[in-house]
Amino acid sequence: MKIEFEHHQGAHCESGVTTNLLRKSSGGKITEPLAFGIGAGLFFAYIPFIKINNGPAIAFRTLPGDIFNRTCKSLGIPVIRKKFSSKEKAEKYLLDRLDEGIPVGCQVGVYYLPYFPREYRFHFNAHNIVVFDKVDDNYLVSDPIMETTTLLSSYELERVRFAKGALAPKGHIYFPGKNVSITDETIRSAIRSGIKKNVYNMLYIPGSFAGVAGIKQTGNKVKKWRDKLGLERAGSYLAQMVRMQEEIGTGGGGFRYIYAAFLQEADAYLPGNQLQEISVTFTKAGDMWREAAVHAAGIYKGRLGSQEDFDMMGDYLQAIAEIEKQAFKTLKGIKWQ
Amino acid sequence: MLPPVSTHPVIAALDHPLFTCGGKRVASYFYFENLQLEKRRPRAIPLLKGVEGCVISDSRTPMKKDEVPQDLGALGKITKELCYVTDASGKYVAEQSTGWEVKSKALDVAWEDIQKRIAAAKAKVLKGEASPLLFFMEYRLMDTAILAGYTGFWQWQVKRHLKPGVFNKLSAQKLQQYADAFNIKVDDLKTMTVNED
Repeated sequence: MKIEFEHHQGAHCESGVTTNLLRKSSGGKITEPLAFGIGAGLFFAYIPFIKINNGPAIAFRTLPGDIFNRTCKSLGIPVIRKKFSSKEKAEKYLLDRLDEGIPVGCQVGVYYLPYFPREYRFHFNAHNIVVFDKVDDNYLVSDPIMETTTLLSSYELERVRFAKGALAPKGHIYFPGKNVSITDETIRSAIRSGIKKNVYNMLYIPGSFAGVAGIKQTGNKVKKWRDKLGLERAGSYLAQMVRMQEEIGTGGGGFRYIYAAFLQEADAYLPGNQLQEISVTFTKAGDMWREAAVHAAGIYKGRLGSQEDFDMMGDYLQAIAEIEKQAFKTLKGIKWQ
Repeated sequence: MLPPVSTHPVIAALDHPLFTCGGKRVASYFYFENLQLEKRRPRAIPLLKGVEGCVISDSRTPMKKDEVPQDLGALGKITKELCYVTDASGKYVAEQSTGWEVKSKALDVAWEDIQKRIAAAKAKVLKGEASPLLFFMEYRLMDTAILAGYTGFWQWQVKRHLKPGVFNKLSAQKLQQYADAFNIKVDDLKTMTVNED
């Protein structure tokens, strides 16, 4: 079989997969930043009771599958998604789709992903790839993180599709149900609904663990980490936060830049709404996340370590919370032209 | 004389001309000196804590296209990463990066922690306080939930098998299940031998 599929690298796995899957039907109109923004990809949550590598879980992204789901729905494209309890059925379903000429998105775990460097292989199960062909025993895989396409043997693919642990993929497979032509008008309304959803996620989720309130609360907690955990573990916690923030597949500073890029592109579709100006604020938020990461690095490298340094780290997060709150409030207040 | 600051202190500071100089960023937002924000704007005070006057950050943030960090990291040897940055006109473009020292160091810290846990687990097994399962669990970065997932046992069973006495009486079949989950041989499981793949 030979399926027409173009691989493009992405900054984030799920928006990259979404863009790659929609490229043909959208005629290349849906770029990665657009997919990310329409899918309302910007998020923050601090979940202390879930431990990842013995540190608190800090998520900078929504649940796996959300971006693809929301982007397609906003664009009026039906989504087909399936999970499996049996490995054989999962593989058969995949092969049938490939026979029909449909490239499919798969959620996979990275621990047994052979082309990843060893240092990056954690039990992280929310990675996304596209499978678009099979030659002999090898599947052709487009991983948005990689510059080129890669190969996975059927055993390797099965292993990563049925990785175990938190967010286990269970063979999760998804693809656009049918090719709908996407007009500029659909994109405009999709952009509006994506922004609306993201405003809700960042400002109005009840409780103080998610959105800008979550960033602020994390800032408060960081200040107490040194006394509560001791310098070494507090440093490890911060290192974990930076990894969640900047690493592939997650990305906090990076996400702010993608969102800023999204607002710039959205401005071309919806001029006169000051999206260009708001985009600048998100660039600044991205810069501040990165500066905070540099400061955190000072702590886990052992260059800094006093209580003042931790206070400053917390202040960084609180300043970020403040600036993002302002930015999202401005977004909320837009009277669409 | 500096122009007055009108909006929220943080944002105002970011917009301030001092922030950029000849198109190049020179300072982070901690430079409140001369702005006299302290007394009039209580919300800015947490930012000023511990900051004597003007503090200039020399950190490199890849806001601009030509400032994207290119510090070779573990991933950079295999593939470059894509990131979105602004070009000279402020427009966002995609640019590749081979890595950033700040985050490769964060990754190093995570692996140092893992190495420590592996060493501690090994010591515990040698003292007879835990079965070799603990060693391989740490070695494969697993917890009981993940190991239970891969083997098909319940978590309480895995916890029981972590006791040396129970482990020594396990059937060959159960040992094989664990060996498969860890991707090793049964003999290596018993002797804590690591043959790296």
